[in-house]
Amino acid sequence: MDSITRDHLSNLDLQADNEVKQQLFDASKWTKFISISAFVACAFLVLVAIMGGEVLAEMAGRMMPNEMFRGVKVGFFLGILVFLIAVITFVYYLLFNFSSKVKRALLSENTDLLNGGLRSLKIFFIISGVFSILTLLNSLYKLFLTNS
Amino acid sequence: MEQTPTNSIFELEINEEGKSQLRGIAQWGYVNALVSIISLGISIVTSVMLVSRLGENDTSLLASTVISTLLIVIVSLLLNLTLMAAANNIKKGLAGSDQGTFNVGLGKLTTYFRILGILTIIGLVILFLAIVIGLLAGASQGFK
Repeated sequence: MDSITRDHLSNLDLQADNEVKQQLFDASKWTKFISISAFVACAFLVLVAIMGGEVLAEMAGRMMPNEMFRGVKVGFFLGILVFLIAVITFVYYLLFNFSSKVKRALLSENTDLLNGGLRSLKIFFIISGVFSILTLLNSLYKLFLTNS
Repeated sequence: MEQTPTNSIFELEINEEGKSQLRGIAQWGYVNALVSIISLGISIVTSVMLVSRLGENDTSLLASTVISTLLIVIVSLLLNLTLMAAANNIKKGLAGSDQGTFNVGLGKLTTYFRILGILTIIGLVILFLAIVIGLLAGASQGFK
């Protein structure tokens, strides 16, 4: 009796029906486009950093309000830039991973691949969340600076 | 030719691990959207304070600040409210095993990525135009 009830309840559970599959397929198409665009933008930034590193470091020194950024060394500036590009590339790699795994999961009806893709998307949102919190702190700092 | 998902009789299963990942996506998506909206509010307050300090002679600077702030507000609200709706619906759908609400949540998540994709296209077009204009300006001055 108990197992029959359990079976009945499991039939009422969520399914990856055709609508869910179509939504996931559309999401995977857009995330692939976004991640590839981000990779291209990062490659472009690397090129700009290599070709015009000195000019960029000078501009950053002039634009940053903080004293510690004035007269900044080119190597130090390029190091920070490369680190930032690496972080951005990693974040968008997660989105690309979600896209390719979910697409393959939908085509091969593979639950493990679907879970792997969803895990990548979760980590993408966790890292984006941390960046959002850092942006919020930066906005608060700017508000404090404007007030003082 | 592009492949599309098959309508197989063997349904792709959303098992406990899948649900747990979706719950995480909904939680962090909600945190992302909420923090971004708060951050946007603080940025608006900062912009208003900066604008109030501008003199009457800085009309062009005033106009550009107001227009750029308005654009950022509209785009950011559209994105983050969509993400928040997606997170809420996915969370509710998973908690109550409600297929309809869950589907709406996934639909909103797809819309969120669609908006991001369209913004990416706009960004790429602007970047391309900036490069072309920069190259033309450099060529007109003989790249001195």
